[in-house]
Amino acid sequence: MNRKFLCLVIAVMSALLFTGCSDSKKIDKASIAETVTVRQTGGQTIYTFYLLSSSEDVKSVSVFANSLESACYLAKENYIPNLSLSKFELFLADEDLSFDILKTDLQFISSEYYLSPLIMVTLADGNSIKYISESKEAPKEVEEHLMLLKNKNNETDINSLSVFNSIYSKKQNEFSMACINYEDELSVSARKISVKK
Amino acid sequence: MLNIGDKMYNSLTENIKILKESFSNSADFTVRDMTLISKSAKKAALITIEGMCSKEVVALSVINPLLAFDFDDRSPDEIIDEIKNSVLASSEIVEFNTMKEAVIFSTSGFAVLIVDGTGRMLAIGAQGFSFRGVSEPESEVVQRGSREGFTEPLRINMTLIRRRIKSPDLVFETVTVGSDSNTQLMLCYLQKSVSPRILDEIRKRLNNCDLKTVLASGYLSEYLEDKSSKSIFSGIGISERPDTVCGKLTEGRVAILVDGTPAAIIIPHLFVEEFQSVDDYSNRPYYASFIRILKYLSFLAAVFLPGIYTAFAQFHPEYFPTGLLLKTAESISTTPLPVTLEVLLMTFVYEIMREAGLRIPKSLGHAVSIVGALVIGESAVSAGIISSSTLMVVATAAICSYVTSALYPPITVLRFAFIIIGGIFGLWGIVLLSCGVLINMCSKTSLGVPYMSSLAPFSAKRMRDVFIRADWKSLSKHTIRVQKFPETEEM
Amino acid sequence: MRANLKLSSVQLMISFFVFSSAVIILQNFYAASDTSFLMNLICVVLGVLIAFLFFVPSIIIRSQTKLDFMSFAHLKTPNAIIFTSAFYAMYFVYAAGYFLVTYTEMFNQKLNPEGNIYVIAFLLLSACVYAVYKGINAITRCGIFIFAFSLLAFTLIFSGNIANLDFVNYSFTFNGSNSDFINNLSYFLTISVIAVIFACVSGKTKNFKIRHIVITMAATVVLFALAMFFVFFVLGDYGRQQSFQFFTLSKSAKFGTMNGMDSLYLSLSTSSVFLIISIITVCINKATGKIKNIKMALIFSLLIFILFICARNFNSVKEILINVHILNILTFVAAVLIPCIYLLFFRRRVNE
Repeated sequence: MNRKFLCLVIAVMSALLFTGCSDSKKIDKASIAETVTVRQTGGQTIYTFYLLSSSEDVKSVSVFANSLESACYLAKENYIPNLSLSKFELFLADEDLSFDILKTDLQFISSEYYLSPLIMVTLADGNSIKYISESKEAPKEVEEHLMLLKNKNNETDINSLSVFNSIYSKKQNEFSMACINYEDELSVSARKISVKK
Repeated sequence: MLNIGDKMYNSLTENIKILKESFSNSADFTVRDMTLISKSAKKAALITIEGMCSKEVVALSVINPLLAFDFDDRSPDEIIDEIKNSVLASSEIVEFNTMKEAVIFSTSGFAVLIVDGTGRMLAIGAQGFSFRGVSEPESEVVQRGSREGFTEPLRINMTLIRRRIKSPDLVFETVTVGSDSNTQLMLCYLQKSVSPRILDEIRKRLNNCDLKTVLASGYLSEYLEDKSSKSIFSGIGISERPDTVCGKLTEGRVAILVDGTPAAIIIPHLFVEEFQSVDDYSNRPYYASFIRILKYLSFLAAVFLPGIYTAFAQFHPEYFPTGLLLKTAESISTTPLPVTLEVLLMTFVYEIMREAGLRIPKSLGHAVSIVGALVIGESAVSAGIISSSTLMVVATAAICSYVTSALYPPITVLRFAFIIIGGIFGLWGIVLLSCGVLINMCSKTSLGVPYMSSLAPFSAKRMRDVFIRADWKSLSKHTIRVQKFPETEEM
Repeated sequence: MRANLKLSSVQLMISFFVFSSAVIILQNFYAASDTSFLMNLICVVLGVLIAFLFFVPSIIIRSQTKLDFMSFAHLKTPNAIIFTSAFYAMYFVYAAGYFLVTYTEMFNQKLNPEGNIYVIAFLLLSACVYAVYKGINAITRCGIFIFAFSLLAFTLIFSGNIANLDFVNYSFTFNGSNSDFINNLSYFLTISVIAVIFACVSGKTKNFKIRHIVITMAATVVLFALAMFFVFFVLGDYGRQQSFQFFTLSKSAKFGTMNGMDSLYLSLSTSSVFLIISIITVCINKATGKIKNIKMALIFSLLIFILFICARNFNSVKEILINVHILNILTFVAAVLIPCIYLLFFRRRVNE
């Protein structure tokens, strides 16, 4: 009995020693980004990460980068070391953004295991992106509008999975994507996007 | 030194001397000397243990008739026969001739009659010790069933069972365990339902019990469990309710009543029985099924909830819904301790409070509740020592564990294990430990019957009384005997 | 629990089904090919059919002698059994290594890249050794719970992806090269390992009927077909960007506001691989003739762990270990060739 107990204790202690909790993410320390927007200003692309917080104000971090992948890297390196995209739900791209950048970003989203295929992707005008930066409720409103659009028009692609597949589809050269506009209030429409094969 | 099987002497003086010596001249050893009416003025003595016999019964039913009867010129053996057959008004008279039996009978509340000139003695039933009356069992409270529970005296418990099964099939078999305590046990079973193999095995295991004193049914648990399958779950069922015991007897199980314990041991005992209660069979099937499922879910919540919460907070915050994530992160961020330690500490403090609540005198019970609720609950959270979400989780798990209170010991151990594993390895660790626990439960047997029977090995027919309680038409179609469960071992 | 206690054939088949579910949820070949759903469906059906054929020699031996092949071999060639035992022991070590490496690859890529994979493998193997100590009856009973959980998980994952089905971009075409066909068929054929397991433990079962295997195989076909269907018509090209597509499928499952069932995937994959490696280790013990010998289980588990470490550190070892063609060839030898040799040699004296 004593020998068995000793073996058990040694086993548990070894496990504790060898593993530790060094790879834990820790809910209280993580900076969780729920929404990301990308816009182009003065020839530069700006990615803004909107973080989950309980405060009244919108918490965000903006970085200059050429792609979402490098933006994540730069944000982690310089501003938010505990950045977590595991709750990333909404991606707004400026309607004037180069299609190649959007394609690259979608490629990145599709290749990362921790990113959900159901991340909502939509184009947005400048006012909408400004609205997102000012109101904490804005992302939820945008998501609701996207769902309504999808219910009305089933062919519109609203998540990264369907947008990605439409871009790389061998069967069609254009697809329909959502576009958010803001003038006094949010509205959403479907926009046809042509894809060069 | 009194040896088993030592025969009594013919001399009354010698017998009394030996018995007095074996009781070390104990103050409660009482001898009532008398001279019987006979030509030779035969001497006799009545031995009782103070407090065990009813003085009234002894005086009226034993001493009075003895002193009034004229034994003429009968020999001592003839006197014994005469007393046994014609003199005494007592309903229970047993003849014996060994020292050990003299001790056992006198300490069981019998009056022992010794006549000079013969080694034969009579034990006359005259029990009159005080005992607690039949009352509602505290640990198995039901809404619609009987309010009777077992008490300490063996004979009363036997009566409670006999009243419910008025069949000659019901057998009570006496066994004595404990070399010093000579505790009486009663094996109860239905002759036509029980498995002879299981019965023989129980007898064998009780015979192998080498304890000197057996003061409660729990002492026997280790001897009755299957040694080849050790587990934190128990293969022995305990019940304080005679109606529950009767139901189990009809399924081929054996109940063991222990003198001095207000509970019966029921074996074989299965995991699914922990979720069954008498109320299930009194209520309507749909409600009983709902309560059953609730019990299973509560068990799972009691075991897994704190561990999963710890794992999610440490390793998988993305699994929390967004609103809950914010609140949990906020509450955890203000506390000084890591989540794992916090949950462990709270669970430990809760266990201390629960144990204190059990042991504390009833008059101080309110103080414990106030201390627990205000100091630990309110103040600790306000002071930022613990987070409110942790407290919620621990409290919810604690309440869930009371739904199946018989499983409380394994639930507690598993809960701690899952918290530690969840804190170190996350959800992966919880899954692996669950697999290990499942293997342990699936390998366990209770007298050769797989502990997880009905679930694994799976039996669709037997599922009518597991997660759901089928209606009585289905249940009464045929009774499932426990020895007929698949993969039951032959010993 | 007594070692000679018979277990229900249905219980064993349920464990085989869990085994098959592990094969499909750990599949990682899709990204490498440009094949269509129809082609893969044909591969599934063919693969499972061939796997069923691998059972035939063991079924013949069992029906004639009431023994499994391993007991039969011990009986007929007591002196030469060392060679057979050695081969089967090594085969099972290889098979266990295959599943362990595949699982840890998935764990490393999908669940926790920063986690210490050696500790994960060690603990998994330790849990399996404990399971072996408790015996195959306990393992197959545990398999019933894992089966119930897998049904729930698959139902939730599939039904949560119904809304994501995309018939606009993807349809029922047939395309794929010959090499893709062979590779995919080989992959689905890996479930034939259960034929070798059957050859080792079928003697312990009671109430065995051939239809049990048929039903298990049919259920496997349905499961594989459903999984492939959802992978192709939900993930499409998106799935090609990632390995272990079933993980991505679980992540894309959605019920109302509840997004992602990857926690179910983690639980299912871990418990299935635990069951697989436990059963395989029992078979190793059976092959060596020491059924409930814990020391044997420890030694061979250590061997599997060493093999795993080599695979992690040397790519060449890893390539050999996770090569489905090698596994299938070895399975063919273990399930068909050797039992057929025994049947041929002892065909007149089978019933002696």
